[in-house]
Amino acid sequence: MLQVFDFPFQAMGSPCSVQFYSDSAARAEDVFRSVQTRIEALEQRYSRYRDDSLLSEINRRAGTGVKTGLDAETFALMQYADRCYLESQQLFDVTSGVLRRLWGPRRTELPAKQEVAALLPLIGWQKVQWSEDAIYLPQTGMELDFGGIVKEYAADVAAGICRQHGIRHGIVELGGDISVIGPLPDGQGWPVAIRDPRQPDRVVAQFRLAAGAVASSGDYERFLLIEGVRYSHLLNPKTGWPVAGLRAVSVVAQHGVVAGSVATIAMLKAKNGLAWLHGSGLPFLCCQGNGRLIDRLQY
Amino acid sequence: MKTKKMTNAVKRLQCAALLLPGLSQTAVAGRVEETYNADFQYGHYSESNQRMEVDIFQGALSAPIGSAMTASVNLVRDMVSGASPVYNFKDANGQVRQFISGASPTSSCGKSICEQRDAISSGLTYFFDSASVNVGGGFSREHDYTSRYFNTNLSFDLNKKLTTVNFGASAAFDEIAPSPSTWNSRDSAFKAHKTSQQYLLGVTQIINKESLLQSNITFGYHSGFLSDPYKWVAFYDGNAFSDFQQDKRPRERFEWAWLNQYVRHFGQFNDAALHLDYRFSTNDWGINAHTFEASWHQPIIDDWQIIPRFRYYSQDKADFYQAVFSGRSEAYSSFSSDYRLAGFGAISAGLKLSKEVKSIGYAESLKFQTGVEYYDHSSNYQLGGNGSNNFSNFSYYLVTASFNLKF
Amino acid sequence: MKTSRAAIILLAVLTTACTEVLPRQRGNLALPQMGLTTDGLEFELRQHAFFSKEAAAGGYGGGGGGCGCN
Repeated sequence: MLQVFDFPFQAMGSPCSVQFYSDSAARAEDVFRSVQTRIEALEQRYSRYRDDSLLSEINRRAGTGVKTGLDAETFALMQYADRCYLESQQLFDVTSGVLRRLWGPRRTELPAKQEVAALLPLIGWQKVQWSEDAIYLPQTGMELDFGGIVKEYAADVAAGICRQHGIRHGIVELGGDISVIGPLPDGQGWPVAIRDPRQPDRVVAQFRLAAGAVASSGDYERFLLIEGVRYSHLLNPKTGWPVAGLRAVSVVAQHGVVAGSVATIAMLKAKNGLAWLHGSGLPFLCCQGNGRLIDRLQY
Repeated sequence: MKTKKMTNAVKRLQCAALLLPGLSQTAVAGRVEETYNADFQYGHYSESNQRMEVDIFQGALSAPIGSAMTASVNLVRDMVSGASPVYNFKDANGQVRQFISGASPTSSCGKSICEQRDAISSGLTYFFDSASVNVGGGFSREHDYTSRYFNTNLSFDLNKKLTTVNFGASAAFDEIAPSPSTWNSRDSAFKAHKTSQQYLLGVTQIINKESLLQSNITFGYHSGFLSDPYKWVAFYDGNAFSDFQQDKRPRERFEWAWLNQYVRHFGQFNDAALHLDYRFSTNDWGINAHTFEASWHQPIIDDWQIIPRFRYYSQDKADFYQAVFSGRSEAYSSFSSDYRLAGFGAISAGLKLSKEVKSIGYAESLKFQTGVEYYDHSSNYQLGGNGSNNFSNFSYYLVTASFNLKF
Repeated sequence: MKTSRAAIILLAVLTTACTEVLPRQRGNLALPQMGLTTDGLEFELRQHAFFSKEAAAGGYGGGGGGCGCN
């Protein structure tokens, strides 16, 4: 008899959960443990908050002349980041993390123009020297940040692990990004609700997801409030300033990592983000700067 | 999720995403079945002129074991009764005719052939990320024929799982103990053996999102007693009978075949699918054969499907086949008048109906299928033939009914 | 010879643009009527009937056992 199991946990700095149907509690525990282990491993490798991560090692070696070896998975992530950089007209740039020093969460005033200008030379994915075997950041102070990719990738990987273990009905949710393992036992999709970016307890869209993933990007969770103005945590790598244009974007795609990148790129494109979303052919929900909602989720 | 046209940008992101380990999708080439499968089929085979009738019962069960293995078992029972051609002779006008074994009042079914064949086979498949290994074996028994067989298959997915390469090997060890009868002069202690091996090299290739192609080459080698213990060969001197011997074929046969199967989807016809198969086979007995098959799978409403099917087959004769021979048997190293080694063609046409019921009780799906096929064997249908074996023409029809349960 | 020409055509089909089918687009290929064998038991029965009445063999693999088919 199939029962539903719900495993909430904390990972990647966000509340997460894995929910699925299984006919055995023991098996459900095993599956959850495998998922948790794998997500923990991804975090251990790619988190910028952990000194022992591969990412931190790459960042520490910036400008020292020492290359860092790449394994197959990291190389694939680099290739994916490269593709995002190319398709977003260089707006999605995993080297833009250095700007956090100026736009960090506890900031109470705007940085000076010179401070921003001083950091811009450290940004630019095209400057990074990488190949299948190794990666090197040529200037001291350069940093890689996979924050925009790893969380959604982890959700996809987690869903894949569940499927490999024979789970056919379930979802994985990592901080608001959802990857579907399989539809509900009756074939229907899992109910997904998207909240108003400015009023978290108000739901602006509801739909059912039977397969694939949905990811969101916006200025609602991590933002700066300086002199009464909300500044997004997404930074434009060319200007060094936060993007302003759209409030929030949610995208549905087959893979969470693609849904996440498309959503993030839409936010980075600001006023041109809506055109990018329309052109993507993927179902999306977009909340514009003036609060207007464009709902294309049923497409 | 309906796919409208995705911009090339998103397509490229998708392609890059697929390179990420852990995101690979299950390929079309059939990976781990997470469901249990139970199948049962009944078939009835009936030849023209009340020659041979067979009732066939088949059952199959497959189950997933753990997260990477599937086990399966298959059972068959054939119940055969009837008559079959024994030898050819020249009638009063010098025309070649077939002699069919007559009724046998003392046999268990009243006909000259009463036979029951039971067979069981099983297999185990282990799935890796981009490969799979299968081993299996089985056993088939009739009162005068026993076969033990083993097979193995290796499958590799390449090219983002668009290409699958298959390697297969199988072997069968048969024991023939023909029962003494009017048509078998050997004594009851006579036992013969036959060993067969077959090797397969194949490729399944996804051509585009609407079609795929499978191409297999097989090599087979058989050795031992390859003759038919119940058939005879007549020798004539002009119109006078000069010798009469049991069927005697070479003790070795080497054969190879090349099969191509093409499948194409037609969305504009309600997701219909066209299947086209062509196989060329040849052996060192001199028999070259062409097989061409086409079927059209047409979904109608509500999970019903109708499948018309057509098949054309043509073979030329074995080097040592003649309808009747001239002279004496000592002049020949091998000789056979078995109609199956003659030059002939066969045309068959069939129709099948299937209905699937999804989500029934605890089961994921229950599928019913029923079909009928009419097969006509004629010397006239042979490609480049001269219709000289029309005396052995016959036809049969085959009716099947089955159900398949997935749970 | 006829066979080698067919072999060349086959190779050409195998190497043309085969790399753009994304798994998401494989939906059509995964339909049951698109399977190379859509009915396993019926396939075995039909092939057994053909094998008993014709001299051609091979192509399909599987490697089942022999029989005293008449």
